[in-house]
Amino acid sequence: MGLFETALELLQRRAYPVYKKNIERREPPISHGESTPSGIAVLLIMTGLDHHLSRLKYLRDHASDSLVDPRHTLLQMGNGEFLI
Amino acid sequence: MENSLSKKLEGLLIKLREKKFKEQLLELTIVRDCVAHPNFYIVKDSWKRDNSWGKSSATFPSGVKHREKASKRKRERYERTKILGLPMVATWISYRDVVMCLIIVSHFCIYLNASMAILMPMWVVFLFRIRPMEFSKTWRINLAGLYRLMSGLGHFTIHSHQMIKK
Repeated sequence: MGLFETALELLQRRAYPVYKKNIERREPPISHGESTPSGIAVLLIMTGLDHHLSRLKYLRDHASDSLVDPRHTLLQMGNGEFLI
Repeated sequence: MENSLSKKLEGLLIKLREKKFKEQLLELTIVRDCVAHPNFYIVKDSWKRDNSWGKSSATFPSGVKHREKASKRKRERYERTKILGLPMVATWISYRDVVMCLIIVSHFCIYLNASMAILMPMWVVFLFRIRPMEFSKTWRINLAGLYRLMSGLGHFTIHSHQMIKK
């Protein structure tokens, strides 16, 4: 699993049940069962965003020339054209 | 690629109308820093006469200061960020704060997609295209649905030829 998915899993499986239980009380102190997975989820989400931006920059600036073009010429054949 | 996330955001969001959005994202990085580089706080909790919780306060011990990025974006009396009101004490981060964080990050990815033709991660696509109307009202239920969907699909890596729109 990736960073975002792990963050969502923590949020959904660990933080949400505790949040639901203490829903009447929304101010600090926050239960450790909620704050710990939530804190880790923030960490993972922002690291995931950082990784995503770095990957996009790499693909756009450094690897864009070496990418395989999915629009292959064989897929662009019109009616009446044949392979020789 | 070698820059920190804050520098990347400042480089991507340079227009005047993007300033508030950039500040919100920088506030998220401050919350991240609170978890990654935790500070030592003196936290005071109080109880009311009926045994319910009162207000909590957190202060730094004398001689300790926030980093410049954090002190600029902190509310005067509270250990919370200015715009989003996110907690700067690691143990005060709640489920609701993380959902807000998710929403801001999703909006950022959608904004990048719209303005700079950069494809967003697939989880953002799912988050906003499955039930966009219900998201703001019942985000808890929708988040559960999103998680189920994500775990069902198994992987979210985007293939390289899908990454860049030309």
